[in-house]
Amino acid sequence: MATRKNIDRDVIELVERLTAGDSDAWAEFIERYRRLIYSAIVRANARFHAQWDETTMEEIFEEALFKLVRRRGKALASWKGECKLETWIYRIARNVCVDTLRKQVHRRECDEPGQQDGEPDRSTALSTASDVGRRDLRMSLDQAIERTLSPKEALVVRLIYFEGFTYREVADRLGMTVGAMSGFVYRALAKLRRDGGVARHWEER
Amino acid sequence: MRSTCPSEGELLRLVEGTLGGSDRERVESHVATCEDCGARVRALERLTEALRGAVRGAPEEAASCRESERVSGYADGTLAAGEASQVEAHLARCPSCSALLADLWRSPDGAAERGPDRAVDRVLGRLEREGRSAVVRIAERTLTVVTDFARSGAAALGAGLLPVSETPLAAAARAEPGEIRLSWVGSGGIALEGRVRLREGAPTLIARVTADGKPARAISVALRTPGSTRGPESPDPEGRIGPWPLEIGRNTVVLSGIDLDGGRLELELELVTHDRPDGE
Repeated sequence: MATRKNIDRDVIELVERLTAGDSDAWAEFIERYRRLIYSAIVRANARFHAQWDETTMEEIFEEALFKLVRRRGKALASWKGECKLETWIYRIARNVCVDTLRKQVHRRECDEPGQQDGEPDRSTALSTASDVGRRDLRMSLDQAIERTLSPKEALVVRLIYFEGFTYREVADRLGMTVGAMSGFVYRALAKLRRDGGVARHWEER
Repeated sequence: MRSTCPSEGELLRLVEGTLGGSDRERVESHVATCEDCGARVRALERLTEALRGAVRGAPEEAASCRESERVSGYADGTLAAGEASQVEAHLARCPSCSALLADLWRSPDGAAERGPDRAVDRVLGRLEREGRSAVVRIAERTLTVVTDFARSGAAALGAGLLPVSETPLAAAARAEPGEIRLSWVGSGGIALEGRVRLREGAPTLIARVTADGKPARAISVALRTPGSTRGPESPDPEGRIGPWPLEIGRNTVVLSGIDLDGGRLELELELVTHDRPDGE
């Protein structure tokens, strides 16, 4: 806990009460973070095309919440203050989502005989056939980004073009001005444009 | 590029539609007359369109990565500079971590639901049960096999008809993570194999009853817990019963039926709580 500097005093107190077995702290913790946990699940549902219904999301929510508070909040002992508690909780909730998804994909593969040979094809289980072309494009773009761009350029391009962030949002996060950011992105795009492996996707048809 | 040409950033912002007012007019009218800049703008349009058309939510994003812990620190800006650039290098290669970062950086949805109350109630219930029975174990001394010949008058049938081993079950009880196995063999050919499962403070019993090695169907099984009674029920064709919920305190499994020549066997399991040792 010594490293939990820069963290709000009341957050640290709440975690300490929880781990000391104060049962009022459970309710307080849940009230404070339930919206965050549920929003992590809603977002994962959309991002992973998981097609969870409300009942499934409710179950995932219950598991994530219980995982956090069970056994006197033992899991919280591994939060060392390396990030904000919100960030830490979000990541735990998202891991529960990823685990659920993995089980779900595994089940679907078991239900479909004829797919037992070799590596299971996770991609088909996760998205529909109409996505295939866009997925191919995404894969070759991912490779070109990794091959051609610096880590920071890669991050910026992903956030803006794959994740829909605005220039300002990314510039603010990385401590740049919008003007500097647009020059930075231009140069990254120019590098990508010259990459022979993916040029076919945007050269004039 | 001529000295009068707009900057690269301005061209890009024109394409992205984020250039405002007089700047836009200036850059637009320049592009209309400058062949070089016109070609650049068209290339940028195709490229950005292709990038935005790529599918979001690639399957590779749904993975857990060991680096995700440091990604949390990166997202909050709490890493030292050297570590931050290591994480950036990782983000460039790892779709699941860059997706995580994007979700952490996306501003929280103010209108998001709070999560259903029912689930919260269930979690509080589970916590309460957990508090009452941090762990359940079968205490050695209280785990006994009791024949109730003397008490029920079944002794009149003659103890000789049903010689029962008095071997304490504890000798055969073996704790494993999350469950305790029971194995009891009576000398009359009746045997009970079972498991007490310890899940989140709600223990359950699953057992299989055999007579001379075959599923014992002519035996019925009942369970008395401190709060309720269950059965008697016949085991399924495999001789299985359960899962039945157990409670803290004395639980009695009662076997009766023609395989026991009308007698009864009571197996007592006393569940007590004690502090769970550290770790899983």
